[in-house]
Amino acid sequence: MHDHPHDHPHDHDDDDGAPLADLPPTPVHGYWRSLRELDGTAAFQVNRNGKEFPDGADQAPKDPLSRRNFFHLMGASMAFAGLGAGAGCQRYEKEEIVPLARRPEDQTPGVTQQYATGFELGGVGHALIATAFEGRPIKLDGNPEHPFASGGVVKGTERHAGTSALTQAAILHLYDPDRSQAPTAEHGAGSSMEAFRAALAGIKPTLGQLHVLSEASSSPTFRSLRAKLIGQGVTWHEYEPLSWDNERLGTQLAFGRALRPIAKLDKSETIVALDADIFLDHPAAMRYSRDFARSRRLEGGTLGDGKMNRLYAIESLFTNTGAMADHRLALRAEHGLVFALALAAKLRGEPAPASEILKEPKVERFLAVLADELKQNKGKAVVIAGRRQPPEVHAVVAQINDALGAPGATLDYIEDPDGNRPSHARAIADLGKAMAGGQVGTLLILGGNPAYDAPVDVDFAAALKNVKTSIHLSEYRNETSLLTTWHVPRAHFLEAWGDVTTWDGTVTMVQPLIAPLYGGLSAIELLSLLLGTEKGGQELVAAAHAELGYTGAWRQNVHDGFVANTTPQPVTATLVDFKAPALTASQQSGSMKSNGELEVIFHPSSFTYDGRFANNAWLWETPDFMTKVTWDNYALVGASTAQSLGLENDTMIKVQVGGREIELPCYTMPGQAKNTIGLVLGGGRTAAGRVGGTGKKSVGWNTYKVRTAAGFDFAGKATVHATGAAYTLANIQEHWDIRRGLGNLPQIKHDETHVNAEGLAERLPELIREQTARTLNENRNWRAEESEGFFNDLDNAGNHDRPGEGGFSLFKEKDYQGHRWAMAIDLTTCTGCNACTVACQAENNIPVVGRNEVMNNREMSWIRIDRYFSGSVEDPQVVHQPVGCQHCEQAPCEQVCPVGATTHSDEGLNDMAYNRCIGTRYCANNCPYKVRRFNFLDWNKEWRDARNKVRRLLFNPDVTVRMRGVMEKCSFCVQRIQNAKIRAKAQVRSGQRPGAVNAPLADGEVETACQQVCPTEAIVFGDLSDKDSRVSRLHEDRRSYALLPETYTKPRNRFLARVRNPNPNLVAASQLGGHE
Amino acid sequence: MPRFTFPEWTETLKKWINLLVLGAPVYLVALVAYGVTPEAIRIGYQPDQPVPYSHALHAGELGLDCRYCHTTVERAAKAAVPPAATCMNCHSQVKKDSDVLLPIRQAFAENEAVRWTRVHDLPDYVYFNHSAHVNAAVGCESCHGRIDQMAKVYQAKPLTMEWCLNCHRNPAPFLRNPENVTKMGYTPAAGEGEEVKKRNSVNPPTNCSTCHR
Repeated sequence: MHDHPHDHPHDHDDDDGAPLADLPPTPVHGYWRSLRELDGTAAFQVNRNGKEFPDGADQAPKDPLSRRNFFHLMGASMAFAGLGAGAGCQRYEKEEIVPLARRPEDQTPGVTQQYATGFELGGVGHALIATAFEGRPIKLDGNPEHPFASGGVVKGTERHAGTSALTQAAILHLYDPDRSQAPTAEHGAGSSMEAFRAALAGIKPTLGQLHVLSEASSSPTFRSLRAKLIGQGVTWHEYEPLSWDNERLGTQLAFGRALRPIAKLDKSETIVALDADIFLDHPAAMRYSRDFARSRRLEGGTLGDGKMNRLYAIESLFTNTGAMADHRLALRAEHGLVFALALAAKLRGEPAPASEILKEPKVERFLAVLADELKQNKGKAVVIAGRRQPPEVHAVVAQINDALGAPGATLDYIEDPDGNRPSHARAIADLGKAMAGGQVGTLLILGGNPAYDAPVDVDFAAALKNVKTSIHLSEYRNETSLLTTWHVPRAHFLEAWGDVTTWDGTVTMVQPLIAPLYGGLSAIELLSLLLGTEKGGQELVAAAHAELGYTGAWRQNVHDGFVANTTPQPVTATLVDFKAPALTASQQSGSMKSNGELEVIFHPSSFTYDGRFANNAWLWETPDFMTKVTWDNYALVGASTAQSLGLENDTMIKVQVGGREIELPCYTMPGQAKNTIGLVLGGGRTAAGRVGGTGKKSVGWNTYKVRTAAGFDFAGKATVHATGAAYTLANIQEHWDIRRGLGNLPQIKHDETHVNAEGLAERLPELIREQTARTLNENRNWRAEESEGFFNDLDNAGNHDRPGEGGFSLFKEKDYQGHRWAMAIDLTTCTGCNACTVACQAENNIPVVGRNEVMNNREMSWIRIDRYFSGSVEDPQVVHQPVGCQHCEQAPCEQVCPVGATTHSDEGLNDMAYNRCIGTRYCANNCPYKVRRFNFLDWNKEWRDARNKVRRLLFNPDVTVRMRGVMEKCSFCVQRIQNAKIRAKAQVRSGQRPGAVNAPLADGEVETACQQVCPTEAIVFGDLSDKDSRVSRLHEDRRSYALLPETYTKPRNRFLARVRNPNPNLVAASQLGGHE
Repeated sequence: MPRFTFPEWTETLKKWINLLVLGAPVYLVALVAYGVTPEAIRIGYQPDQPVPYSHALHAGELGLDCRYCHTTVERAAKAAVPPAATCMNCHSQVKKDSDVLLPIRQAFAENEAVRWTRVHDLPDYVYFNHSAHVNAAVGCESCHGRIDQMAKVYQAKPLTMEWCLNCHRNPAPFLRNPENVTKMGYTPAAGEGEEVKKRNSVNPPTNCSTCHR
């Protein structure tokens, strides 16, 4: 289509676009992945210059075989070959069949079972369905029956419950061989549960002197036991390093009582996120993602056809919420209060507070347009402030929401169950003081890791020395356990009974699926021991529920996974008089700051959350949402700030704040607020385990070393210097570049050595297709793909005269009968949350390769989420694009496989037969989408160690564990397809199901793992032979397009163009507008 | 000293020796090649079991249906070796003091598993599903042979990919009316397979992902 741009006037008819002069110099086609790609720096040129893979990608790892060792090994294998006459002629390894002595009634060997359960992270419950294979849990998913978790986005979906990447990865800890396996006493000496019980009995008579430091818990059973213990004189403290306390304290300021705001994004036309990452970091992130997607659909959304919500993000660091936003404003975190006050003032028609920042043209314009839109959208707008913002900001936001008529319409308030608790930062500081002062005789620490993650000025480790007896209940023997007198292994949530509440207050059951592998205790069991009533978890939960008067039969509640009618009703909140504090001098200043006045912002880690997932290899290897770095944490510095301070990517910097300092690598992040340093938490663990760090070998850097109780969320007056040392982050953002080799880079576009560069470069922007809602509404004929496929407008003679008449193909076309499996991925609702990547890893037994091998391009994830920037460095836009195997009908990989290991199925799947693959890697080289992954080494080797035997229990038995030397890639979860088909056919043949044997399955009967977890249902899988299936409809959608259609691969996966909804009055330089 | 000469009759040996020298490698290669074929290695594999359970007695003489013990064969991938509890249904009454049944009684009493040795073993990258085949009306006998005549179970068929594909490409000869699936020594009537294939829409796929995933 770009051959004749002038034949397509609507290519340029969208006048929403900014004048092009506003755009800073960017690559010709608008999209870039990294700053050095944008600059075309020397390093990039030397390293990558038009190559698909970096140098060294095809070499063996550095440590292994010397020549001598090689012959050594060869000698050995020759000897084995000699034996081969004997060994080779034998059968496979002898296997046993071990049936249970009595088979439970509902169990069929080899068939998975699903149980409802729940999971708690940072005091917030999540409702789950766990899949078990012959008694061992292998997969976690959202509970589609749960009132808070469930709901459909795409038309035709009734029930769907997404999960986050962290939840997906939580199952890995169950089988972690590094988990603590027995209690230790006297600072590390081995001990037993009996000895611990005896010790606990000694504490019981003096409960009045006992202090408990607990991580946050939403469990009603836990709370009821806690109340009993407090009644007996126990002093209780609660601490979480990442907490939503500010919101609770803010509502206390605004309403005089602690409330919990829950936004109803599916009813909101204007959504304002004030330093809030509502898609990843929020306790209701899954619900918010889903509700956002429901009102984000221009056609068939909850706001009505032709309407979609508009998201404004005001944030310091660049988060996924900023990436999804229609308008994003980068502000230092401390300016959150200024912005909130100014917005409130604007809505009231009062003068704005005095601050330089409000006079900066961009902020001024943004604020004016936003206030106007909010005024027009009263009752249809909502403002959400983030955890990092102080209580005052939340109070002001509550006032704004009140002025907007949000309560009842787009926002509900429920009572906070823990209204009077001091904030976590305050609680740990007070406890630290008491401990240092010798006022704490006995300390019981329930979970958590305060020695690692408590504010540094509390100096928890030192204070702990003044405590005579300390007990730590923990899944791992972590930094805190090493310092306490006693350490007791804690049961994983899949090993113990319990309950949690989801963010809306619904009581959710936690059901064990397996007996404790290492004999751990759950927190409620330990509390019950303290109370002197030794009861099992189930008894405790049942007793608490009876006491609390929960309705519904126990069995029903366990089956459903929640207790019906426990969701609290919204309350009416009345504002009380609240005056915001005066602005500080720093808040009154503008965006310009000098070194020494920088702001440090603490940011949760996509890998380890607050550090607790540090031994989780899946998460470490899943690239961060925005930076695409793996296996590290780092300091985020805005691009212009880095430039003015002389910092660079991949160099070490020293950050000094409040008299403390830390050295860590620097990542320059486009679009980050000027003069801010984002410190990612959760790295540098010293007692996490073999993955996350032991002793001096740790992954990442401990940023808690500069986090104080006062500067818990962000802190000012920081100084940053480059140390001069280099440090390479394992960053995958330039790996698997579809565009590489196609010569798209402006620098090499006219390089004569790249023959194909010129023409191909013209079409490259089409990897991502974007459009504005306005254009879609005004131009009903707009289609993301103007012609159906590149070749369809050629006649047999190759002329362009017969558009759309099918025709010319060099390949044998296949006539598909029966199922035609296909996928649609909606870029409008994809938040780039990584859940699909981790779910795929869990479902398909995908190995991790480690930091060094990631740097060699050897990561194995079947779905990668490409993140493209566009626009200027200071104010870029972002689009996420998940790319897995496209299952091309004319697959280039199949053409080149010399052994027929990858072939096409009758149903349109691009099959991969591992046992046939000989590892030529021709297919990967010929794949235009770069989605094939090669097992360069035996990644699963370590699982064969006897010590790691337990880890093997996690493997999905329906998927082959691949060996060294074979290629792999997305299979569209063929194991789920086959099982569903077999089940359906058997049901038809035995008369349990009407219809024909080969009839299409019901839409949704087969869900791929990525589809199942997607919180926004951006991924839809199904059968094209069923014309009414969701995927058929989505493929017909006018936003649908194929990736690289001109290669004539005819992919079965189609993307739906990203629709943005910019405010016409605020089309900033960064807004794409008229470029397709 | 007279020179030793081979007697004339040795001339006739020459061609035999030549034949042996040239033929031996060919023979050896052929022997080894056949020796490592699945037909030679796998067919007849007959491991010892912890309990000398006789299918000839139970399925043959007593005429128990296969599905009395292999209960999951119609609805799951695995045909499931029965739990000890199934054995005890009868053996709590019949032969309740037999020595050979001791492992069964022990397993049942102590709730421990009897560890049977797998006879029909496919590579780990092969995903065979019993229910798919039984519901399509392939007889048990087609893959397992005359189990009703085996006092000790052995592998009767090669279970190679080629052998699987023979049927997947032309299933009709191996289909029978569903009520005859577990019958041993059953010969389908002329046209029975074709009729069942049509009625049941049996079109076994031959895609890689049909069995490998």
